Amino acid sequence: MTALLAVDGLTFRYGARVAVDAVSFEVRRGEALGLLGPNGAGKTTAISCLCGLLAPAAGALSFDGASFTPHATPAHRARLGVVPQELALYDGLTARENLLFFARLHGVADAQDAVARGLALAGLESRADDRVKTFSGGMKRRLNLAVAALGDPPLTLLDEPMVGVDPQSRNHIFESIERLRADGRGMLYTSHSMDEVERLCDRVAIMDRGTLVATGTAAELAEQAGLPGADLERTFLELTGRSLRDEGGSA
Amino acid sequence: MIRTALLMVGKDLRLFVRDKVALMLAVLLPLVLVTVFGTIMSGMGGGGGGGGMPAVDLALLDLDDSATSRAMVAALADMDGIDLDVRAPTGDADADRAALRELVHDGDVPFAAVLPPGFGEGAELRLLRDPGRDLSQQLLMIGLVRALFEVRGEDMAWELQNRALAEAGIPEEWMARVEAFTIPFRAAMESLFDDADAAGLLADADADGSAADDDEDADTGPDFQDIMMAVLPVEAEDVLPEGRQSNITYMVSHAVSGMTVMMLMFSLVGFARSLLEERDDGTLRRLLCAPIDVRAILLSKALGSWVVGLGLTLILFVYASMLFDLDVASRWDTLLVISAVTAASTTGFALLIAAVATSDKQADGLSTILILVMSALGGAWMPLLFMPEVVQTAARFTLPFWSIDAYQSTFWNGLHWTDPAVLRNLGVLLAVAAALFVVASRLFRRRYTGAPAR
Repeated sequence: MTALLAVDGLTFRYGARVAVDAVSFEVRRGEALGLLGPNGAGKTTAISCLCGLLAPAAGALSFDGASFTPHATPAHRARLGVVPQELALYDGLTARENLLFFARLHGVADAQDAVARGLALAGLESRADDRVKTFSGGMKRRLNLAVAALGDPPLTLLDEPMVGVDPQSRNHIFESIERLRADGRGMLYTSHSMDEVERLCDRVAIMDRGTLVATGTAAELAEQAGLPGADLERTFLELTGRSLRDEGGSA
Repeated sequence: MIRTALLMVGKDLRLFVRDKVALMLAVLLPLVLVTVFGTIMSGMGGGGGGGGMPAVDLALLDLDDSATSRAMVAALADMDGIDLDVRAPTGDADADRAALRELVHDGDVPFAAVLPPGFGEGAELRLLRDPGRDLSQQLLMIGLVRALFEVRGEDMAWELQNRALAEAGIPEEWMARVEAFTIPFRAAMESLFDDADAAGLLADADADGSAADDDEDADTGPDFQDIMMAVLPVEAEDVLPEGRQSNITYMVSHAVSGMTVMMLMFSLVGFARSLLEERDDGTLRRLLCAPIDVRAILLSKALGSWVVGLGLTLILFVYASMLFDLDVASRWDTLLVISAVTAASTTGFALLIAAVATSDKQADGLSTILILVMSALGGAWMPLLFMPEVVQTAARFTLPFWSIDAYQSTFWNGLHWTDPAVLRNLGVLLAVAAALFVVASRLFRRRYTGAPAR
């Protein structure tokens, strides 16, 4: 598979503190890459650089082989779908109005068609005209994903997209993501749930203290950790250590 | 960028309108405040609006019970500025006086008056007063003098003359000399008035007044102020700017302007705070990740806030025109321009609060303090003419001052928005609006996009 997104030496500093230190990885077309790390590892900062919220201090990004500067070039951000950790929806608007607003904001050519597909992806056709504030957590999470899929972006960044959802909605989101992947879209997926990552991701990149510790399939990582055949959670703990990470912060 | 901003304005306005409680508060609260303050202010500063002076409590004991004393009681009872409490004599005059004194002493009433036996023949009214109530006493004295003139008529003028001579040092025994030449003069004057009355000339003089004056006189007798103005060596000319209604007081139009400007600031800060809500809800992150110019986000908040501000202002003025008969229709263009500029400057202020504050609570605290201080200093609560000079100077550093002054320029002085005096205010407001928006925009970009605050 060819690299859809290539990250080379990505570095970001909060003042003197290095939050992301020369991190390099790639996401291939149709691939789901899991980005794991303890709290404060630098995952959110790295994703913020990728989606244009932060300007990297150093490093180069490329998309489909061309230079990628989402922070400086708004048009580059159209290549990305972003599923934030928060339920980034307008509670006072209906599901349809939310989708329509974001579709227009992203300049989607046939916004109404995109809205219809978004509602189908979220399984919310029957609740399309209800306000989001009347939805359950699972319904909101599904809609959160559908908003990110508007405009068919080649790459979707998912930041813990399944926090607090019931098993049915979780399964629906899994299936939705797999459907999007089957369409050839790339995924960069962060989560603290090893189950989710094992089920969804082809490869895993593990970050700790701002640096990339290891990259590979779950089996390859287990080999690197000296725990062949171990599950991802054991491998993760072996690679990142068992000390508590209570530093918090925005990284 | 404009298209994107308009798209977001549509979303914000839809959300604003759908939050019924917030919408009701945004509209209803200013209406209630305008009603309350306007009604209070209509009782100050004279003029129409059912106003006049605030009432002063006065207990009264009539120990004379003559036609003159009863007329005095009736005259005082008719005074708008006096709330009269007539005490019935018990037959024990000393006990009645003591009871009256106790009322004042205990603070039940600030003033009490005794019409002593012989009041009808010229005995002096005795006033018991609570010292330190200067303003109330001045208001009471106006009422007492009016009543005395009404019941004693021309006698009052002669009495005042004698008292003035005594005050000047003329010995009492010399008063006989004064009377020697004033009594024939007085008799001659009375004869003159009798002849004029018989000839119907006095009635003709009354007829010169307007119908409204006649009605008013029928109820309350001759207008004291008119009498004083007529006999004093002063020529008064009423200068009513073109377009000003004579039934609107300065205080009413000021209250409407002041409350409108203050409530506009509260409402628009509430609207601009949606920026903080978007940040907390995560939607701001989603907007920032969208393929749009980030400046469009702040621009959309500015446009939305301006539209809401303009709408609220116009609603308030239409409401005030219905409630207080304020003339809005004939000066709609000036009000529209001033309101548009006021909404723009207030929007700049609101955006700055939203950009500076890092939490809802910060925005609440900061905006409440700033709005209340600026409103008080800027004259939103009380006209600056009642305030010390230092406050009047400080007022010029507040937004409300320039807006209220512009509104008063049209409501009170009848100026058009093209008048240099109004244009100066509009210029200041626009300059402040631009400066605030630039600062807010830079703070916003630095805070949310990591861009340097250049």
